[in-house]
Amino acid sequence: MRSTRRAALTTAGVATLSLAGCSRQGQRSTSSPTSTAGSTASATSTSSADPGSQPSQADPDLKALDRAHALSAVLLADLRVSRPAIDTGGRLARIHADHLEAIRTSAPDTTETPFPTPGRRLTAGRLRARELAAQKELARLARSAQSGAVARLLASMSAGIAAGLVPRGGVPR
Amino acid sequence: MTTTETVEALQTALAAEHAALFVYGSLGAQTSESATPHVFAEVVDAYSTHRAWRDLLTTRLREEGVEPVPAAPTYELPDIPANVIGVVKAACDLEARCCETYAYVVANTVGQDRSWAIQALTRAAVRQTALGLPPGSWPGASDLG
Repeated sequence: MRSTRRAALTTAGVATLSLAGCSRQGQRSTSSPTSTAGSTASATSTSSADPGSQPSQADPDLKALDRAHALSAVLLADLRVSRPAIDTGGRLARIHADHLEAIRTSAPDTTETPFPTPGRRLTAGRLRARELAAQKELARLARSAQSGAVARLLASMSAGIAAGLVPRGGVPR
Repeated sequence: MTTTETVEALQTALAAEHAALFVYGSLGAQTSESATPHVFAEVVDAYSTHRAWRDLLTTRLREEGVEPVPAAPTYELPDIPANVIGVVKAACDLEARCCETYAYVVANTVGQDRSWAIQALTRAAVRQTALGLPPGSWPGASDLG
């Protein structure tokens, strides 16, 4: 049951991101959060691209999504190897896994490694620094995204990581 | 050139800030600084942040020659128990709705407006966790999960 759901989500994710990434028209979300009883615009709802068209590898939004995919994969590998104190209860690992599942692309860019020595045992401080760097990079990618739907996805990823870095028990003051 | 969608998104965000200020004003009155200093600090900081964002959005809309949406005379307050658990739940629910609004603004703006929305989304998501809610994978965009 679980694998079926995951497969469906992955398939939907690929379709969603392919559409969102190659859209050049209808880039903006049109549904307001206040006008739809709490629902928000999804990546798929904003695209008017031809589903049959092949996204260009030069598409900057697809490159951004590939980068986001690579970042999530490396951060998840680091966390699984190091089991750090910064990830109480595996919260960050779950966030990265969820991100990976949603943004998995058919051909992620593997030519560039986000960080040196991914998957190596690291100190908690080093891991936190990597998480923060990734969070900031995702925010930067969101700022420069051409598609509003992709910007929303990347910004949400960035915010999720930031929230995942909050120590259990709240922010020290 | 500001598009109609951008102005609409900023107006939506401003309306959300008006509501957030009203609700946080009420929550602040129900929070004890001595008994629950952490929650009190979060509520005070949230009120200050949302007030600054209301002012920023008001200025931004006026720069575009648009009349900013005014605050409503009153807002429906959350039906919560009169204790710190109720305050925290109401604050988390409020920030979750703000996250949805900010994510919507991210999708419908560019440049500095989008940068602000990304920052606001992050702050709201962090505040939810700081108040004790487990961090979500998709703040403001639960439809992506």
